[in-house]
Amino acid sequence: MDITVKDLTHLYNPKTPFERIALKDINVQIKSGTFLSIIGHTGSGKSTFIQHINGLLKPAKGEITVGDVTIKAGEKNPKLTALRKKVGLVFQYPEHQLFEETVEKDICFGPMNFGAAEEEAKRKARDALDLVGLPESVLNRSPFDLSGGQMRRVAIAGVLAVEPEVIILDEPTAGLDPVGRREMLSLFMKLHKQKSLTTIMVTHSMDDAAFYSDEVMVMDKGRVVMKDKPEAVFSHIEKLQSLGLDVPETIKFLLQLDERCQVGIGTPVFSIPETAAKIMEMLGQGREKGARV
Amino acid sequence: MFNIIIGQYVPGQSIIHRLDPRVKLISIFIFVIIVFLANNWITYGLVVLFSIIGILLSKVPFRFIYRGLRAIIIIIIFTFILNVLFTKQGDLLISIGWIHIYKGGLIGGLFISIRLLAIIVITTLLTLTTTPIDITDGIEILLGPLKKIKLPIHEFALMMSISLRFIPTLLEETEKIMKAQSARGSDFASGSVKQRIKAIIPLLVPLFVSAFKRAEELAMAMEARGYRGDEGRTRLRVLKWTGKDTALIIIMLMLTVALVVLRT
Repeated sequence: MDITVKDLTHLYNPKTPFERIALKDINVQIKSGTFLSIIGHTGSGKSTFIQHINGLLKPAKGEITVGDVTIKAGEKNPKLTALRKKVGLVFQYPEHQLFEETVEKDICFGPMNFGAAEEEAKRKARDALDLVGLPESVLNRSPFDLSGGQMRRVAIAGVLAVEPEVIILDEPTAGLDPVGRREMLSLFMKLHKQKSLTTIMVTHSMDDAAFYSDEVMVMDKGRVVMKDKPEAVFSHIEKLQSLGLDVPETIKFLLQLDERCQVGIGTPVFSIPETAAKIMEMLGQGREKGARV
Repeated sequence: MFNIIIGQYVPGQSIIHRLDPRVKLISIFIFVIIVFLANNWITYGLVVLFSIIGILLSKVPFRFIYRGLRAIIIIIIFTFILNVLFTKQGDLLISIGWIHIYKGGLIGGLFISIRLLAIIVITTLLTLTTTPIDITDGIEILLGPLKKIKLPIHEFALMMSISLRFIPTLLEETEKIMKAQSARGSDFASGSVKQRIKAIIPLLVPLFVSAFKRAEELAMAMEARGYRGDEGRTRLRVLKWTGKDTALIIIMLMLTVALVVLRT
Protein backbone atom coordinates (compact mmCIF):
# COMPACT_ATOMS: atom_id res chain seq x y z
CA MET A 1 0.00 0.00 0.00
CA ASP A 2 1.52 3.30 -1.08
CA ILE A 3 1.87 6.06 1.47
CA THR A 4 2.15 9.66 0.36
CA VAL A 5 2.78 12.51 2.75
CA LYS A 6 2.47 16.06 1.45
CA ASP A 7 3.61 19.21 3.29
CA LEU A 8 2.78 17.66 6.63
CA THR A 9 3.17 20.03 9.57
CA HIS A 10 2.26 19.15 13.14
CA LEU A 11 2.11 21.45 16.15
CA TYR A 12 2.17 20.42 19.78
CA ASN A 13 -0.06 22.46 22.11
CA PRO A 14 -1.27 24.79 19.38
CA LYS A 15 -2.38 28.27 20.44
CA THR A 16 -0.73 28.13 23.88
CA PRO A 17 2.58 29.55 25.06
CA PHE A 18 3.90 25.98 24.92
CA GLU A 19 3.31 25.71 21.17
CA ARG A 20 6.09 23.81 19.49
CA ILE A 21 6.59 22.65 15.92
CA ALA A 22 6.86 18.87 15.94
CA LEU A 23 6.90 18.29 12.20
CA LYS A 24 7.63 20.82 9.51
CA ASP A 25 6.72 20.43 5.83
CA ILE A 26 7.31 16.72 5.52
CA ASN A 27 7.12 15.37 1.97
CA VAL A 28 7.63 11.64 1.74
CA GLN A 29 6.62 8.83 -0.61
CA ILE A 30 6.73 5.28 0.67
CA LYS A 31 6.16 2.68 -2.02
CA SER A 32 4.21 -0.46 -1.32
CA GLY A 33 6.45 -3.26 -0.12
CA THR A 34 9.24 -1.04 1.18
CA PHE A 35 11.04 -1.72 4.46
CA LEU A 36 11.72 1.80 5.67
CA SER A 37 13.72 2.63 8.78
CA ILE A 38 13.42 6.01 10.42
CA ILE A 39 16.38 7.21 12.42
CA GLY A 40 16.89 10.46 14.26
CA HIS A 41 17.81 11.98 17.56
CA THR A 42 15.32 11.81 20.45
CA GLY A 43 12.68 14.46 19.81
CA SER A 44 13.31 14.64 16.09
CA GLY A 45 9.66 13.86 15.34
CA LYS A 46 9.91 10.18 14.43
CA SER A 47 7.10 9.01 16.71
CA THR A 48 4.89 11.96 15.79
CA PHE A 49 5.38 11.17 12.14
CA ILE A 50 4.37 7.52 12.38
CA GLN A 51 1.27 8.36 14.42
CA HIS A 52 0.03 10.50 11.54
CA ILE A 53 0.12 7.49 9.23
CA ASN A 54 -2.38 5.77 11.54
CA GLY A 55 -4.60 8.83 11.88
CA LEU A 56 -3.89 9.12 15.60
CA LEU A 57 -2.85 12.75 15.23
CA LYS A 58 -4.38 15.44 13.10
CA PRO A 59 -2.13 17.41 10.79
CA ALA A 60 -2.00 21.18 11.28
CA LYS A 61 -1.16 21.51 7.59
CA GLY A 62 -0.78 19.20 4.63
CA GLU A 63 -2.18 15.76 3.91
CA ILE A 64 -1.44 12.06 4.27
CA THR A 65 -2.67 9.45 1.84
CA VAL A 66 -2.53 5.78 2.75
CA GLY A 67 -3.95 3.56 0.00
CA ASP A 68 -7.30 5.14 -0.77
CA VAL A 69 -7.76 7.02 2.51
CA THR A 70 -6.68 10.65 2.67
CA ILE A 71 -6.41 12.72 5.83
CA LYS A 72 -6.30 16.43 5.13
CA ALA A 73 -5.59 19.31 7.49
CA GLY A 74 -8.68 21.32 8.37
CA GLU A 75 -11.10 18.70 7.09
CA LYS A 76 -13.12 16.32 9.16
CA ASN A 77 -11.38 12.98 9.32
CA PRO A 78 -12.74 10.27 7.06
CA LYS A 79 -13.80 7.07 8.80
CA LEU A 80 -10.54 6.05 10.39
CA THR A 81 -11.53 2.45 11.02
CA ALA A 82 -10.72 1.53 7.42
CA LEU A 83 -7.31 3.14 7.74
CA ARG A 84 -6.48 1.58 11.09
CA LYS A 85 -7.47 -1.85 9.85
CA LYS A 86 -4.86 -1.59 7.14
CA VAL A 87 -2.15 0.10 9.16
CA GLY A 88 -0.97 -1.84 12.20
CA LEU A 89 0.93 0.24 14.71
CA VAL A 90 3.16 -1.44 17.28
CA PHE A 91 4.02 1.13 19.90
CA GLN A 92 7.12 1.24 22.02
CA TYR A 93 6.77 -1.31 24.83
CA PRO A 94 3.57 -2.73 23.30
CA GLU A 95 3.21 -5.09 26.28
CA HIS A 96 1.85 -2.09 28.22
CA GLN A 97 -1.38 -2.24 26.24
CA LEU A 98 -2.35 -5.78 27.35
CA PHE A 99 -5.50 -5.85 29.45
CA GLU A 100 -7.56 -9.00 28.96
CA GLU A 101 -7.83 -12.04 31.21
CA THR A 102 -6.43 -14.41 28.63
CA VAL A 103 -3.96 -14.13 25.81
CA GLU A 104 -6.61 -15.28 23.36
CA LYS A 105 -9.08 -12.58 24.35
CA ASP A 106 -6.40 -9.93 24.14
CA ILE A 107 -5.34 -10.93 20.64
CA CYS A 108 -9.00 -11.11 19.56
CA PHE A 109 -9.59 -7.53 20.74
CA GLY A 110 -8.28 -5.98 17.51
CA PRO A 111 -10.02 -8.24 14.98
CA MET A 112 -13.32 -7.98 16.87
CA ASN A 113 -13.10 -4.19 16.97
CA PHE A 114 -12.78 -4.29 13.21
CA GLY A 115 -15.87 -6.41 12.90
CA ALA A 116 -14.64 -9.99 12.86
CA ALA A 117 -16.99 -12.61 14.30
CA GLU A 118 -15.79 -14.46 17.41
CA GLU A 119 -14.88 -17.68 15.61
CA GLU A 120 -13.00 -15.83 12.91
CA ALA A 121 -11.19 -13.69 15.50
CA LYS A 122 -10.14 -16.82 17.38
CA ARG A 123 -8.77 -18.35 14.21
CA LYS A 124 -6.87 -15.14 13.47
CA ALA A 125 -5.55 -15.12 17.02
CA ARG A 126 -4.12 -18.63 16.61
CA ASP A 127 -2.54 -17.66 13.29
CA ALA A 128 -1.01 -14.51 14.76
CA LEU A 129 0.30 -16.41 17.76
CA ASP A 130 1.95 -18.85 15.41
CA LEU A 131 3.50 -15.97 13.43
CA VAL A 132 5.15 -14.53 16.53
CA GLY A 133 6.43 -17.97 17.47
CA LEU A 134 4.45 -18.70 20.63
CA PRO A 135 2.86 -22.12 21.33
CA GLU A 136 -0.92 -22.44 21.38
CA SER A 137 -0.73 -23.46 25.01
CA VAL A 138 -0.40 -19.83 26.11
CA LEU A 139 -3.81 -18.95 24.64
CA ASN A 140 -5.64 -19.60 27.87
CA ARG A 141 -3.08 -18.06 30.19
CA SER A 142 -3.22 -14.57 31.59
CA PRO A 143 -0.94 -12.24 29.62
CA PHE A 144 0.36 -10.91 32.94
CA ASP A 145 1.79 -14.32 33.85
CA LEU A 146 4.10 -14.38 30.85
CA SER A 147 7.70 -13.24 30.68
CA GLY A 148 8.48 -9.79 29.32
CA GLY A 149 9.55 -11.09 25.93
CA GLN A 150 6.48 -13.29 25.63
CA MET A 151 4.21 -10.40 26.62
CA ARG A 152 5.69 -8.32 23.84
CA ARG A 153 5.08 -11.14 21.37
CA VAL A 154 1.46 -11.41 22.49
CA ALA A 155 1.00 -7.66 22.07
CA ILE A 156 2.52 -7.82 18.60
CA ALA A 157 0.27 -10.77 17.76
CA GLY A 158 -2.64 -8.55 18.79
CA VAL A 159 -1.66 -6.10 16.07
CA LEU A 160 -0.88 -8.78 13.48
CA ALA A 161 -4.23 -10.51 14.05
CA VAL A 162 -5.93 -7.57 12.35
CA GLU A 163 -3.94 -8.57 9.25
CA PRO A 164 -2.67 -5.12 8.32
CA GLU A 165 -1.00 -4.34 5.02
CA VAL A 166 1.25 -1.71 6.51
CA ILE A 167 3.00 -2.33 9.78
CA ILE A 168 4.64 0.43 11.77
CA LEU A 169 7.09 -0.40 14.52
CA ASP A 170 8.20 2.11 17.12
CA GLU A 171 11.49 0.82 18.50
CA PRO A 172 10.32 -2.78 18.62
CA THR A 173 13.50 -4.01 20.28
CA ALA A 174 13.69 -1.48 23.14
CA GLY A 175 14.46 -3.25 26.40
CA LEU A 176 15.09 -6.70 24.89
CA ASP A 177 18.25 -8.75 25.36
CA PRO A 178 20.52 -9.37 22.33
CA VAL A 179 18.93 -12.74 21.48
CA GLY A 180 15.44 -11.31 21.86
CA ARG A 181 16.37 -8.40 19.61
CA ARG A 182 17.66 -10.61 16.86
CA GLU A 183 14.61 -12.87 17.06
CA MET A 184 12.23 -9.93 17.04
CA LEU A 185 13.85 -8.35 14.01
CA SER A 186 14.06 -11.55 12.00
CA LEU A 187 10.40 -12.10 12.87
CA PHE A 188 9.48 -8.76 11.33
CA MET A 189 11.75 -9.41 8.34
CA LYS A 190 10.05 -12.76 7.78
CA LEU A 191 6.58 -11.20 8.04
CA HIS A 192 7.59 -8.39 5.74
CA LYS A 193 8.59 -10.84 3.03
CA GLN A 194 5.94 -13.50 3.61
CA LYS A 195 2.98 -11.14 3.64
CA SER A 196 4.54 -8.55 1.31
CA LEU A 197 3.91 -5.85 3.89
CA THR A 198 5.03 -2.28 3.86
CA THR A 199 7.08 -1.93 7.02
CA ILE A 200 8.11 1.27 8.73
CA MET A 201 10.46 0.92 11.70
CA VAL A 202 11.63 3.63 14.05
CA THR A 203 14.95 2.63 15.54
CA HIS A 204 17.95 3.94 17.40
CA SER A 205 20.18 1.19 16.13
CA MET A 206 22.10 2.18 13.05
CA ASP A 207 23.05 -1.46 12.53
CA ASP A 208 19.43 -2.57 12.35
CA ALA A 209 18.48 0.35 10.12
CA ALA A 210 21.33 -0.41 7.74
CA PHE A 211 20.98 -4.16 7.72
CA TYR A 212 17.23 -4.66 7.41
CA SER A 213 15.86 -1.77 5.40
CA ASP A 214 15.40 -0.96 1.74
CA GLU A 215 15.37 2.69 2.60
CA VAL A 216 16.50 4.81 5.54
CA MET A 217 14.90 8.12 6.44
CA VAL A 218 16.84 10.51 8.67
CA MET A 219 14.89 13.05 10.71
CA ASP A 220 16.10 16.07 12.60
CA LYS A 221 14.09 18.78 14.41
CA GLY A 222 10.84 17.76 12.71
CA ARG A 223 12.24 17.70 9.21
CA VAL A 224 13.33 14.93 6.87
CA VAL A 225 17.04 15.37 6.29
CA MET A 226 17.71 12.37 4.06
CA LYS A 227 15.73 9.50 2.62
CA ASP A 228 17.63 7.04 0.49
CA LYS A 229 19.06 3.56 0.29
CA PRO A 230 21.08 2.62 3.38
CA GLU A 231 24.30 2.57 1.34
CA ALA A 232 23.72 6.16 0.27
CA VAL A 233 22.59 7.43 3.69
CA PHE A 234 25.44 5.85 5.61
CA SER A 235 28.09 7.25 3.31
CA HIS A 236 27.31 10.71 4.70
CA ILE A 237 29.20 9.96 7.85
CA GLU A 238 29.98 13.51 8.92
CA LYS A 239 26.46 14.69 8.25
CA LEU A 240 25.06 11.89 10.42
CA GLN A 241 27.47 12.66 13.21
CA SER A 242 26.56 16.34 13.12
CA LEU A 243 22.95 15.24 13.74
CA GLY A 244 24.00 13.27 16.82
CA LEU A 245 23.68 9.98 14.98
CA ASP A 246 26.22 7.31 14.29
CA VAL A 247 27.17 4.90 11.54
CA PRO A 248 26.84 1.10 11.70
CA GLU A 249 29.61 -0.85 13.40
CA THR A 250 30.68 -2.45 10.12
CA ILE A 251 31.35 0.98 8.62
CA LYS A 252 33.24 2.04 11.73
CA PHE A 253 35.43 -1.00 11.40
CA LEU A 254 36.10 -0.43 7.71
CA LEU A 255 36.90 3.23 8.34
CA GLN A 256 39.56 2.28 10.87
CA LEU A 257 40.96 -0.34 8.55
CA ASP A 258 41.11 2.23 5.82
CA GLU A 259 43.25 4.50 7.97
CA ARG A 260 45.97 1.90 7.48
CA CYS A 261 45.15 0.76 3.93
CA GLN A 262 44.38 4.15 2.44
CA VAL A 263 42.31 2.67 -0.39
CA GLY A 264 38.84 4.04 0.45
CA ILE A 265 35.91 1.85 1.54
CA GLY A 266 33.73 2.31 -1.56
CA THR A 267 30.09 1.21 -1.23
CA PRO A 268 29.13 0.71 2.42
CA VAL A 269 28.28 -2.85 3.45
CA PHE A 270 26.35 -3.90 6.55
CA SER A 271 26.32 -7.69 6.90
CA ILE A 272 29.12 -9.77 8.36
CA PRO A 273 29.87 -11.85 5.21
CA GLU A 274 29.92 -8.76 3.02
CA THR A 275 32.19 -7.02 5.49
CA ALA A 276 34.57 -9.98 5.51
CA ALA A 277 34.76 -9.89 1.72
CA LYS A 278 35.29 -6.15 1.83
CA ILE A 279 38.12 -6.54 4.34
CA MET A 280 39.91 -9.03 2.12
CA GLU A 281 39.49 -6.75 -0.86
CA MET A 282 40.80 -3.73 1.02
CA LEU A 283 43.72 -5.65 2.44
CA GLY A 284 44.65 -6.87 -1.05
CA GLN A 285 44.47 -3.39 -2.52
CA GLY A 286 46.35 -2.01 0.44
CA ARG A 287 49.21 -4.45 0.02
CA GLU A 288 49.46 -3.64 -3.68
CA LYS A 289 49.80 0.00 -2.74
CA GLY A 290 52.53 -0.98 -0.34
CA ALA A 291 50.74 -0.20 2.92
CA ARG A 292 52.08 -2.20 5.87
CA VAL A 293 49.07 -4.34 6.74
CA MET B 1 -9.61 16.04 29.10
CA PHE B 2 -6.03 17.10 29.68
CA ASN B 3 -7.10 20.56 30.68
CA ILE B 4 -6.87 19.82 34.36
CA ILE B 5 -6.79 22.61 36.87
CA ILE B 6 -3.95 21.18 38.96
CA GLY B 7 -0.56 21.90 37.59
CA GLN B 8 -1.64 24.92 35.62
CA TYR B 9 1.53 26.62 36.82
CA VAL B 10 2.82 29.25 34.40
CA PRO B 11 6.57 29.61 34.81
CA GLY B 12 7.77 33.13 35.46
CA GLN B 13 10.10 35.31 37.48
CA SER B 14 7.67 37.98 38.69
CA ILE B 15 7.59 39.21 42.26
CA ILE B 16 4.48 37.10 42.88
CA HIS B 17 6.26 34.01 41.61
CA ARG B 18 9.15 34.65 43.95
CA LEU B 19 7.08 35.12 47.09
CA ASP B 20 7.41 32.45 49.74
CA PRO B 21 4.61 29.90 49.26
CA ARG B 22 3.87 30.01 53.01
CA VAL B 23 3.21 33.74 52.75
CA LYS B 24 1.05 33.26 49.72
CA LEU B 25 -1.00 30.61 51.48
CA ILE B 26 -1.43 32.70 54.63
CA SER B 27 -2.31 35.79 52.60
CA ILE B 28 -4.92 33.95 50.61
CA PHE B 29 -6.38 32.56 53.79
CA ILE B 30 -6.62 36.09 55.19
CA PHE B 31 -7.95 37.44 51.92
CA VAL B 32 -10.73 34.89 51.65
CA ILE B 33 -11.89 35.86 55.14
CA ILE B 34 -11.62 39.63 54.86
CA VAL B 35 -13.40 39.72 51.51
CA PHE B 36 -16.53 39.12 53.57
CA LEU B 37 -15.90 42.33 55.51
CA ALA B 38 -16.46 44.41 52.40
CA ASN B 39 -19.97 45.81 52.17
CA ASN B 40 -19.85 49.10 50.27
CA TRP B 41 -18.37 50.60 47.12
CA ILE B 42 -15.10 51.72 48.75
CA THR B 43 -14.35 48.41 50.41
CA TYR B 44 -15.26 46.40 47.30
CA GLY B 45 -13.14 48.84 45.31
CA LEU B 46 -10.19 48.01 47.57
CA VAL B 47 -10.75 44.28 47.08
CA VAL B 48 -10.91 44.67 43.32
CA LEU B 49 -7.87 46.93 43.31
CA PHE B 50 -5.92 44.38 45.32
CA SER B 51 -6.86 41.60 42.88
CA ILE B 52 -5.96 43.66 39.82
CA ILE B 53 -2.60 44.67 41.27
CA GLY B 54 -1.96 41.03 42.03
CA ILE B 55 -2.69 40.02 38.44
CA LEU B 56 -0.56 42.81 37.02
CA LEU B 57 2.39 42.05 39.28
CA SER B 58 2.28 38.35 38.43
CA LYS B 59 2.70 39.11 34.72
CA VAL B 60 0.59 36.08 33.93
CA PRO B 61 -1.24 36.59 30.63
CA PHE B 62 -4.90 37.35 31.34
CA ARG B 63 -5.88 34.40 29.13
CA PHE B 64 -4.80 31.97 31.85
CA ILE B 65 -6.79 33.69 34.54
CA TYR B 66 -9.78 33.67 32.26
CA ARG B 67 -9.31 29.95 31.73
CA GLY B 68 -9.41 29.43 35.48
CA LEU B 69 -12.60 31.48 35.67
CA ARG B 70 -14.38 29.90 32.75
CA ALA B 71 -15.64 26.94 34.71
CA ILE B 72 -17.02 29.13 37.48
CA ILE B 73 -18.38 32.06 35.51
CA ILE B 74 -21.75 30.37 35.02
CA ILE B 75 -22.17 29.97 38.76
CA ILE B 76 -21.37 33.65 39.22
CA ILE B 77 -23.85 34.74 36.58
CA PHE B 78 -26.47 32.46 38.10
CA THR B 79 -25.91 33.90 41.57
CA PHE B 80 -26.10 37.39 40.16
CA ILE B 81 -29.40 36.73 38.41
CA LEU B 82 -30.92 35.09 41.49
CA ASN B 83 -29.93 38.05 43.62
CA VAL B 84 -31.26 40.58 41.16
CA LEU B 85 -34.57 38.80 40.82
CA PHE B 86 -35.30 37.93 44.40
CA THR B 87 -33.93 40.73 46.54
CA LYS B 88 -36.54 43.34 47.24
CA GLN B 89 -34.67 46.29 48.70
CA GLY B 90 -34.34 49.91 47.73
CA ASP B 91 -36.06 51.63 44.82
CA LEU B 92 -37.93 49.67 42.21
CA LEU B 93 -36.02 50.16 38.95
CA ILE B 94 -37.70 47.98 36.36
CA SER B 95 -40.94 46.07 36.47
CA ILE B 96 -41.89 43.87 33.54
CA GLY B 97 -44.66 41.37 34.22
CA TRP B 98 -43.60 39.29 37.18
CA ILE B 99 -40.01 40.51 37.03
CA HIS B 100 -39.27 43.28 39.49
CA ILE B 101 -35.75 44.58 39.72
CA TYR B 102 -34.84 46.63 42.76
CA LYS B 103 -31.77 48.80 43.19
CA GLY B 104 -30.76 46.89 46.30
CA GLY B 105 -30.94 43.59 44.44
CA LEU B 106 -28.83 44.88 41.60
CA ILE B 107 -26.14 46.18 43.92
CA GLY B 108 -26.29 43.10 46.10
CA GLY B 109 -25.90 40.82 43.09
CA LEU B 110 -23.01 42.88 41.84
CA PHE B 111 -21.28 42.74 45.24
CA ILE B 112 -21.64 39.00 45.56
CA SER B 113 -20.32 38.51 42.04
CA ILE B 114 -17.32 40.70 42.79
CA ARG B 115 -16.71 38.79 46.00
CA LEU B 116 -16.74 35.43 44.25
CA LEU B 117 -14.64 36.71 41.37
CA ALA B 118 -12.03 38.20 43.67
CA ILE B 119 -11.70 34.99 45.69
CA ILE B 120 -11.37 32.87 42.58
CA VAL B 121 -8.94 35.20 40.85
CA ILE B 122 -6.67 35.32 43.87
CA THR B 123 -6.67 31.56 44.44
CA THR B 124 -6.12 30.98 40.72
CA LEU B 125 -3.21 33.36 40.98
CA LEU B 126 -1.70 31.11 43.64
CA THR B 127 -1.81 28.00 41.46
CA LEU B 128 -0.66 29.96 38.42
CA THR B 129 2.41 31.36 40.11
CA THR B 130 3.41 28.60 42.51
CA THR B 131 4.61 25.15 41.56
CA PRO B 132 2.51 22.37 43.09
CA ILE B 133 5.60 21.17 44.93
CA ASP B 134 6.05 24.60 46.52
CA ILE B 135 2.42 24.66 47.58
CA THR B 136 2.79 21.25 49.20
CA ASP B 137 5.98 22.32 50.96
CA GLY B 138 4.22 25.42 52.20
CA ILE B 139 1.26 23.45 53.50
CA GLU B 140 3.52 20.93 55.20
CA ILE B 141 5.40 23.63 57.09
CA LEU B 142 2.29 25.60 57.98
CA LEU B 143 0.61 22.47 59.31
CA GLY B 144 3.86 21.39 61.01
CA PRO B 145 2.65 22.19 64.53
CA LEU B 146 -0.07 19.55 64.14
CA LYS B 147 2.66 16.89 64.18
CA LYS B 148 2.74 17.47 67.94
CA ILE B 149 -0.65 15.84 68.20
CA LYS B 150 0.57 12.90 66.11
CA LEU B 151 -1.06 13.86 62.83
CA PRO B 152 0.99 12.38 59.95
CA ILE B 153 1.50 15.71 58.22
CA HIS B 154 4.73 14.71 56.54
CA GLU B 155 3.17 11.58 55.09
CA PHE B 156 0.19 13.55 53.81
CA ALA B 157 2.48 16.08 52.21
CA LEU B 158 4.56 13.33 50.65
CA MET B 159 1.48 11.63 49.28
CA MET B 160 0.35 14.92 47.88
CA SER B 161 3.65 15.71 46.19
CA ILE B 162 3.91 12.21 44.76
CA SER B 163 0.38 12.40 43.36
CA LEU B 164 1.05 15.80 41.89
CA ARG B 165 4.31 14.63 40.45
CA PHE B 166 2.65 11.68 38.75
CA ILE B 167 -0.40 13.42 37.31
CA PRO B 168 1.41 14.42 34.12
CA THR B 169 3.04 10.99 33.93
CA LEU B 170 -0.30 9.24 34.23
CA LEU B 171 -1.89 11.57 31.70
CA GLU B 172 0.92 10.81 29.29
CA GLU B 173 0.50 7.13 29.94
CA THR B 174 -3.26 7.40 29.42
CA GLU B 175 -2.73 9.14 26.14
CA LYS B 176 -0.24 6.50 25.04
CA ILE B 177 -2.47 3.55 25.90
CA MET B 178 -5.46 5.30 24.38
CA LYS B 179 -3.54 5.64 21.16
CA ALA B 180 -2.36 2.05 21.28
CA GLN B 181 -5.91 0.80 21.74
CA SER B 182 -7.27 3.19 19.10
CA ALA B 183 -4.72 1.72 16.70
CA ARG B 184 -6.26 -1.67 17.53
CA GLY B 185 -9.67 -0.32 16.61
CA SER B 186 -10.96 0.88 19.99
CA ASP B 187 -13.41 3.74 19.72
CA PHE B 188 -13.46 6.05 22.73
CA ALA B 189 -15.45 8.87 21.20
CA SER B 190 -18.67 7.45 19.84
CA GLY B 191 -21.27 4.81 20.57
CA SER B 192 -23.85 4.41 23.33
CA VAL B 193 -23.05 5.02 27.00
CA LYS B 194 -22.71 1.28 27.56
CA GLN B 195 -20.29 0.94 24.67
CA ARG B 196 -18.25 3.86 25.90
CA ILE B 197 -17.98 2.44 29.39
CA LYS B 198 -16.88 -0.84 27.88
CA ALA B 199 -14.29 0.99 25.80
CA ILE B 200 -12.72 2.33 29.00
CA ILE B 201 -11.73 -1.10 30.30
CA PRO B 202 -8.87 -1.61 27.83
CA LEU B 203 -7.63 1.76 29.02
CA LEU B 204 -8.03 1.34 32.78
CA VAL B 205 -6.51 -2.12 33.19
CA PRO B 206 -3.14 -1.27 31.63
CA LEU B 207 -3.17 2.05 33.48
CA PHE B 208 -3.66 0.35 36.84
CA VAL B 209 -1.05 -2.27 36.08
CA SER B 210 1.52 0.35 35.23
CA ALA B 211 0.56 2.60 38.15
CA PHE B 212 1.08 -0.25 40.62
CA LYS B 213 4.36 -1.19 39.00
CA ARG B 214 5.47 2.41 39.13
CA ALA B 215 4.49 2.75 42.78
CA GLU B 216 6.49 -0.34 43.68
CA GLU B 217 9.51 0.88 41.76
CA LEU B 218 9.25 4.30 43.36
CA ALA B 219 9.05 2.82 46.84
CA MET B 220 12.10 0.70 46.12
CA ALA B 221 14.04 3.61 44.67
CA MET B 222 13.20 5.74 47.72
CA GLU B 223 14.30 3.04 50.12
CA ALA B 224 17.45 2.41 48.14
CA ARG B 225 18.29 6.07 48.61
CA GLY B 226 17.76 5.85 52.33
CA TYR B 227 14.31 7.34 52.78
CA ARG B 228 12.98 6.59 56.24
CA GLY B 229 10.27 9.12 56.81
CA ASP B 230 10.21 12.47 58.44
CA GLU B 231 12.64 11.84 61.31
CA GLY B 232 15.77 13.98 60.95
CA ARG B 233 15.06 14.85 57.37
CA THR B 234 16.45 18.08 55.92
CA ARG B 235 15.08 19.89 52.89
CA LEU B 236 16.51 20.34 49.43
CA ARG B 237 14.49 23.48 48.81
CA VAL B 238 14.66 25.57 51.92
CA LEU B 239 11.93 28.17 51.90
CA LYS B 240 13.29 31.65 52.49
CA TRP B 241 11.38 34.44 54.14
CA THR B 242 12.51 37.73 52.62
CA GLY B 243 11.62 41.41 52.79
CA LYS B 244 8.87 41.14 50.18
CA ASP B 245 7.20 38.41 52.19
CA THR B 246 7.07 40.59 55.27
CA ALA B 247 5.82 43.39 53.03
CA LEU B 248 2.94 41.25 51.77
CA ILE B 249 1.94 40.32 55.31
CA ILE B 250 1.97 43.99 56.27
CA ILE B 251 -0.11 44.83 53.19
CA MET B 252 -2.59 42.14 54.15
CA LEU B 253 -2.85 43.55 57.66
CA MET B 254 -3.31 47.04 56.29
CA LEU B 255 -6.00 45.80 53.93
CA THR B 256 -7.75 44.15 56.84
CA VAL B 257 -7.63 47.31 58.90
CA ALA B 258 -8.80 49.39 55.95
CA LEU B 259 -11.75 47.10 55.35
CA VAL B 260 -12.72 47.12 58.99
CA VAL B 261 -12.51 50.89 59.18
CA LEU B 262 -14.19 51.68 55.86
CA ARG B 263 -17.03 49.21 56.02
CA THR B 264 -20.42 50.55 56.92
